[in-house]
Amino acid sequence: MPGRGQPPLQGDILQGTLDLLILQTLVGGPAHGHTIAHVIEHRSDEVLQVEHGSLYPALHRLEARGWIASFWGTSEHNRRARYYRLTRQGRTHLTRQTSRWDELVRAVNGVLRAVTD
Amino acid sequence: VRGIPFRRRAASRRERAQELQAHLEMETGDNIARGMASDEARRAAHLKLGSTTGILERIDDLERVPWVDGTWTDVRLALRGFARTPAVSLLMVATLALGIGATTAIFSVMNVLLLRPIAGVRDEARLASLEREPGQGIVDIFSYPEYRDLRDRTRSIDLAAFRRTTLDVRSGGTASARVRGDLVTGNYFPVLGVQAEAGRLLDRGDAHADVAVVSDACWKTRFGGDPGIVGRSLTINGRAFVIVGVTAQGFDGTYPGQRDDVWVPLDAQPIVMPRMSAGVMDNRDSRWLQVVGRLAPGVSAAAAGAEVDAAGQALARLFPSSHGGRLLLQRGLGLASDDRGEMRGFLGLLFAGACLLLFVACGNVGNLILARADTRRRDVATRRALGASQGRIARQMLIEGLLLAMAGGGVGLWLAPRIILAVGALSESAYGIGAPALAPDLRVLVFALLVSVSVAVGFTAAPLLHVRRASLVDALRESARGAAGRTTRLRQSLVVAQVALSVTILIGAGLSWRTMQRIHAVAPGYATNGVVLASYALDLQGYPAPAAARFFERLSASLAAVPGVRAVTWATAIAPVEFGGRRSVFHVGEAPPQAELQRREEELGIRADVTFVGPAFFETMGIAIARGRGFTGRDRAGTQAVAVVNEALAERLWPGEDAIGRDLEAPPFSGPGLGPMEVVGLARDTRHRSLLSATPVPVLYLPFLQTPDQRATLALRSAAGAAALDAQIRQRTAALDPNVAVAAVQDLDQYVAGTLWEQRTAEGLFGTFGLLGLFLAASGLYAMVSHAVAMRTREMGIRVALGASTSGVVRLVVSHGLRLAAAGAAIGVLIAIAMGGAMRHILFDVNPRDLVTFTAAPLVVLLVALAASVVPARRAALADPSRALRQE
Repeated sequence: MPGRGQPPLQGDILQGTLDLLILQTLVGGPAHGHTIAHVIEHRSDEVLQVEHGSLYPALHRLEARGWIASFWGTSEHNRRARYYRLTRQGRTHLTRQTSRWDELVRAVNGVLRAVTD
Repeated sequence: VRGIPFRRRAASRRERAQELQAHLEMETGDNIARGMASDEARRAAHLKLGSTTGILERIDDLERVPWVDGTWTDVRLALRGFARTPAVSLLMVATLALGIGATTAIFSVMNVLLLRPIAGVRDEARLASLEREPGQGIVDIFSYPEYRDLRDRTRSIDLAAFRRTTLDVRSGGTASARVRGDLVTGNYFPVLGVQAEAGRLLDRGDAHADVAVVSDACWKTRFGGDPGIVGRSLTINGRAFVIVGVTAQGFDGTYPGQRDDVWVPLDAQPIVMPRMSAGVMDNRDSRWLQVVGRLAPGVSAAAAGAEVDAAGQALARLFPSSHGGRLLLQRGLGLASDDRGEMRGFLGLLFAGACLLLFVACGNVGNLILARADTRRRDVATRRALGASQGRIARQMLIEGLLLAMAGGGVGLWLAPRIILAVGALSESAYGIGAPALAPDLRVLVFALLVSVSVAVGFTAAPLLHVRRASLVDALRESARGAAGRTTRLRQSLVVAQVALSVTILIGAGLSWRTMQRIHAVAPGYATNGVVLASYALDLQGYPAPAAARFFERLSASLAAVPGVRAVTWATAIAPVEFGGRRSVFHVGEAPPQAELQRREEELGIRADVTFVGPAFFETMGIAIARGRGFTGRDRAGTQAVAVVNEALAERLWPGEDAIGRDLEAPPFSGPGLGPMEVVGLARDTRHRSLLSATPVPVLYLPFLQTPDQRATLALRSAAGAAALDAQIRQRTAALDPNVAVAAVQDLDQYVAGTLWEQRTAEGLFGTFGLLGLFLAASGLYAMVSHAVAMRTREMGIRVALGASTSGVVRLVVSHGLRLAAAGAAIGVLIAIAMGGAMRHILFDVNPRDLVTFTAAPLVVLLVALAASVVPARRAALADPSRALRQE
């Protein structure tokens, strides 16, 4: 993984990965789009720059699949904002996908180490 | 059902927009908190989020059934756009309707005559029409003995014979009407597999009975759908027939596009076709019947064809002077193969003309769309910059095109049959196609749809290429004037193409028109105007020939007394309507014995068309007597046998010498002749066989009263037409003998016009297409020049301000328009030259590269182009320079 100071990975977050990141963000509780974007960026030490433009279609897609649900609430600055929360279906999906992701990472790492050794 | 989701979606779209707005505000707030100035903070937030339109569109795309919805939105958008400029939209639809209507009109005629199967028959694929190999005369007619022998010698096909003709029918107290009908053999209906709707159809047992079958349409219109139709009486050519049944609805006879109303047994031929000579049923050489057959079960068309051909060969060995040549079976019913080929060529020509008109129309619409594209360029570029995808924009333009073309196609479909009926010649002719046959069927609908779609795709492509390159910066930077400059080249080429194609059509129209002028200028050698014909067959009432001659004399005298009738005569055959047969003519003493004549008549003597004519024939028909005299009432049985020859015959008999006073012999094929006849008159040559055939045919005129016949056609010279004289003729005939029937009362000139249907159709359609094309090209040029002038108002203003004269400005603009028109005209002439011989077939006495037409057509177009340029040019020149300069 690139360390701090290196240019952030931009725009190449795989679609499935973005879905996963959004779902993971919502494990901590409901959040609106702006928060989700910043949480992802923050947790990844700014490596993963969420393209805001892709975020909203992704939210829409996840909602359409029933993994998240939305409601209108009031933001920390007292503004009307659209909040998203994880559904039970979404939680199950996240668990399943996270373990698949782990497998994938292990597998890729295995290959990469073999090359560098 | 659809409305609800749409409304819900609109609400959801609003919420999405609000959500994005909230995001922007939060991001801006964060940025300010990080220390940015508020403007910069807002800008950074916008940059980071990207285009909100784009995001919303992407979400929309996720949400909908992708294309149905997008299309619906685009349709609404397009309709709204059209409604904003209703005049232009209507103009585009009307223009397309003309082009699509013209092509659809010709296609629907092709459909009727060449493509559509014959309705109401069972399994047309198992039917076959008998034809002769080409080069043996008309391919699809046969003599009765030939048909009978072929029928009896074949097992693999059941052959039926029929003859279509026109006949006069009357029922109850109604006036007589001319309808089409058929003489048919007893197996005609079983072979075709036609069903009866009421009663029964004809069968073998009907051969000698006066029975008739009528069509469904005839039953409904003439008899009001009377359920007791069977057993009612129908008077055909004066003879009462008993109706035995009605054919099922949908069966209109075997001829494409026309409706037959009456079917009678073949033996009714003397009543139905009195002009045919007696004994035609036994004459091997008299070909008049069409033959159709149904393949026996399990037999292939090839096997049946081989058997029929073998039977034909056997007959040819038995009767070598009458039969010969191969026979073949053509699949199905419809036009004979030679007519089909000729029709295909002729309709192909008309179709090409219609396509040219369609292209000119598309040019106009393309021009209007490009003009709209100019004004929409900024709009489109802005939308794209805001994130609308290129495919989205392309789809919207295509939908606009499709909507226009569909509307145009719909109106065109309505227009198509009306174009054919308006031009008339096609619907009145031998190939007369009635309005019901022209009603669009599935094939025509599909054709119109395909044309519309191709047209839409065609004229969407150009503006699409044009806007594809539209970048936001360019579009926003450019003034309207600069943007327009980009389409100018394209629009100019469109105008050049339009002018070119309309010149081509006009040349076609000019050639057709010149042909009709030449035809009208033909002096046929006989009067065509104001001659009314009526035919009689007195053998039906048992008149012997001398009594028939007395009847015709008395009837002529009676009709000559009718006010308005200038002269009356009669003849066994009146050219060019009827053909009276031919005889071999000899110098006195050179005629062979009759037996020899019967064996090799064709090779002996001088073959001449012969007709037996009543007194005052030449005066009545307007045929000039060059020397000597015509016949009078004194040239009758018992007096010196006399003859009148035409110049062509005299020249063959006595080259360079005077024919008057000489004797000739023209012995009949059978029966006693008159012996030597003295030539008492020399008649001028006439267009005896056809108006269009300039080669003089030898003609021998003999006095009817010296060789009386039971059948003759009466000719009345009168300014009143057949319609006006019909009642008088019937009344005065009935006064002499109420049992005598009158057939085929008609105007000679209408008959002659009918034979010219191809030329008249070409003149009518090319003329119409040519004028429409000219008008469209002119309006295209006008629009183009106006547009160019509008774009150059500023330049004009400067020129005038700098002292250019008004006329100088006018000249500048006009010369620009004329240069384009001249280029177009030159190309049009080249196209017409390249298409060269295509029209040769329907031209008469006009060179396909006729200099007058090829000069006049482009000149007319240039004059119209001049007018179309002068109007906007003058407007430009009169513009107030200071206003023009301030305009941008």
